[in-house]
Amino acid sequence: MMKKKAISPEKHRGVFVVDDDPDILDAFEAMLEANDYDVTTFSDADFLLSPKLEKKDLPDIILLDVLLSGQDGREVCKELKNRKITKNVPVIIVSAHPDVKDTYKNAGAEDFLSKPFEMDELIEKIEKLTN
Amino acid sequence: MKKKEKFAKIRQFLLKNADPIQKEATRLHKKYLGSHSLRTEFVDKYQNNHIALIHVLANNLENGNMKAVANLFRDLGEKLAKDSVQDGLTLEEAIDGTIFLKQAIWTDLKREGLLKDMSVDDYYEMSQKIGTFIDTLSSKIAFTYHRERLLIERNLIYLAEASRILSSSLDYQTTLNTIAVLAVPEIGDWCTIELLNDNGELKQVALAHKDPKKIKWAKELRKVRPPDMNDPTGTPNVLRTGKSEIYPSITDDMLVAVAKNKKDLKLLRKVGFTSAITVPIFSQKSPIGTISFVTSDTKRHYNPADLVMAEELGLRASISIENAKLYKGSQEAISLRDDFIAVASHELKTPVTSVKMFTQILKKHSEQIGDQKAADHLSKMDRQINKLTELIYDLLNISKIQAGRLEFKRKLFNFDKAVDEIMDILQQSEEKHKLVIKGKTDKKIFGDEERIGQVLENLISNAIKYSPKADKVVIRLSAKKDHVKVAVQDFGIGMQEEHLGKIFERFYRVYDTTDKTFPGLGIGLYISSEIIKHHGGKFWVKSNIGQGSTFYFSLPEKRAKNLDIDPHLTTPNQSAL
Repeated sequence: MMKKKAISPEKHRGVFVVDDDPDILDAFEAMLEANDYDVTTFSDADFLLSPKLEKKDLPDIILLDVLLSGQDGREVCKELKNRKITKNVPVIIVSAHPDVKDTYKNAGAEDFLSKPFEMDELIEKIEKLTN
Repeated sequence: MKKKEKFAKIRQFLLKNADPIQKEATRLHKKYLGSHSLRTEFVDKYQNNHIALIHVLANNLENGNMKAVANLFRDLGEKLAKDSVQDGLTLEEAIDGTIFLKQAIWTDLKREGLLKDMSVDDYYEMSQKIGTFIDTLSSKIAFTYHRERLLIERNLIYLAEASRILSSSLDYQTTLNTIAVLAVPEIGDWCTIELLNDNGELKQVALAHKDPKKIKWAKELRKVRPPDMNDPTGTPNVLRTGKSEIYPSITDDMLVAVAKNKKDLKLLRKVGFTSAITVPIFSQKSPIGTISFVTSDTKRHYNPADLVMAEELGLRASISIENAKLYKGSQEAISLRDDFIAVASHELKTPVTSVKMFTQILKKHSEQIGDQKAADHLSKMDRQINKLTELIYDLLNISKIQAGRLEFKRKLFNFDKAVDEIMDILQQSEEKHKLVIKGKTDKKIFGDEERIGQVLENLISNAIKYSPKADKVVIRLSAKKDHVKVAVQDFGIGMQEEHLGKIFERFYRVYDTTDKTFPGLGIGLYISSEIIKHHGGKFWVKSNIGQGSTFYFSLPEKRAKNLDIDPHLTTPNQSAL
């Protein structure tokens, strides 16, 4: 399932957020839009892993939760990094479980965000990876 | 009188007087060698053995076939010796009565006048026969006795070594294989170990013989005749009944009886079977496998003592496998519980994350539209959410400590560097208080770097909390011979002496003089002291009212000896929060 918004020319960064919790998706959307990001939310990684994915569909950065229904975010990340089309899109793995902090690098992710987090922290990490 | 008649008379005499003759031999033995007499429980048995010896001697005096008679005595001697070893007799007890048998026979024959008028040749012939028979007997007894004792010793040495191997590791696939190889060739020419797997199939986990060619045949044998669980003998039978099997002597007829077909029989003969033992391995009182010893080349025949050793080995293998299964089970239980904590942690943090995000969004919006009052309220909400997060963290930690399951990732790390890194991070979010580091340790500590960092964080945030009017917190590092010491000093209100002992308790909170409590559940210090304790260190505090408090902890440089942790058993990827 995905919610797409119309892309406005002022919004300069496209962010995909993948999380199976709808309340968290709402919060991410509100927070990122309040910071002038263009946000698309997904409750699963199907779109990103779909063979029909095209270069023009790609975001500037992906926020990927570890606990997805029926999928482990780390495995999804590994797969994204394996594929030519998605491997250069930076991924931040998001999780409430601190164990993940040690394994995000093994999954190929560029950074890790632990829940709950400060808004400044989120923005800083996104900016660092999209400059 | 002719020789034939003379010898016949001697024979009759010996047969009639076997008992007094052997008693005489025993008396002479005691007289000249001064040994203890045979233990009472064996007197009858061995007297009868000796009488039988004299009978055989008498009945073969006239036998011309010296070789056949010598063989007879050889076999008798072997039997006597084996009985003695099994009965636990000393060598003296074993040959009691046979050593002076010659003497006793001659003395009695002379006294009876049966040696009178014998030609020199006849006399010589008889003395040769009696002498040779008895000497053969004695020699065989001594030799066999010694050999049997050696075999027992070998059994014991093997059992001791096999036990050591079995208890050295939880990897029983490997240890079982090792003890099978170790058994060859001292204990048997073959050793095989079979276990039932989870599907109830019998798998051969170990197969040993010193000749690799024979191992090939044995594997072929197993392919040609895979184990039939309905077999009345062998491993299937032992598994069914839980009782051992011993075949002291396997004949070709026996092989023919168990062979399923011609090819099978051919292979059985090729592999070779002289003697065999099969003992059960148990798990939770049910047989789950067997250990088998087989001799073929060495022609050794197993006896009850060998069976006892094998059964003891089976018992120790059972314990080893049981331990491995228990450990695996407990690890699975731990990982299940960790899953629960992971899920609980996630469940609690998710709504908190949501609330925090919206709070910050609203705060930003309020600031943007200039509503400072709303922004302040939202700031306060945000701070409370942070406290809530900390409490969730502490509660989950404490539940792990209580369950004794707080696990540590241990590695060797540079202590000074770790302290510097933590200070940098903490200083970034602390504006008022300056964090000052004094001294260094130049030491590497073996422990959980993250957890020790938590301790520092806890002490420093406490120091800040309890010194709201001060502008610095001093952290002093020092190194002693085998440990490091850290002192975290604040310049705040200090604590009354009555609090000092109790602050490490789980929920203890210190109240300040104006009766305003300082926030926090009081779990932090408890958790910190547990972490330090687990590393084998010490944790203490000194305080002065109005001047401030200093919290100290020490950490041993090497792994503490009193920690009951085997690095092989600590799973490195487990952590609390």
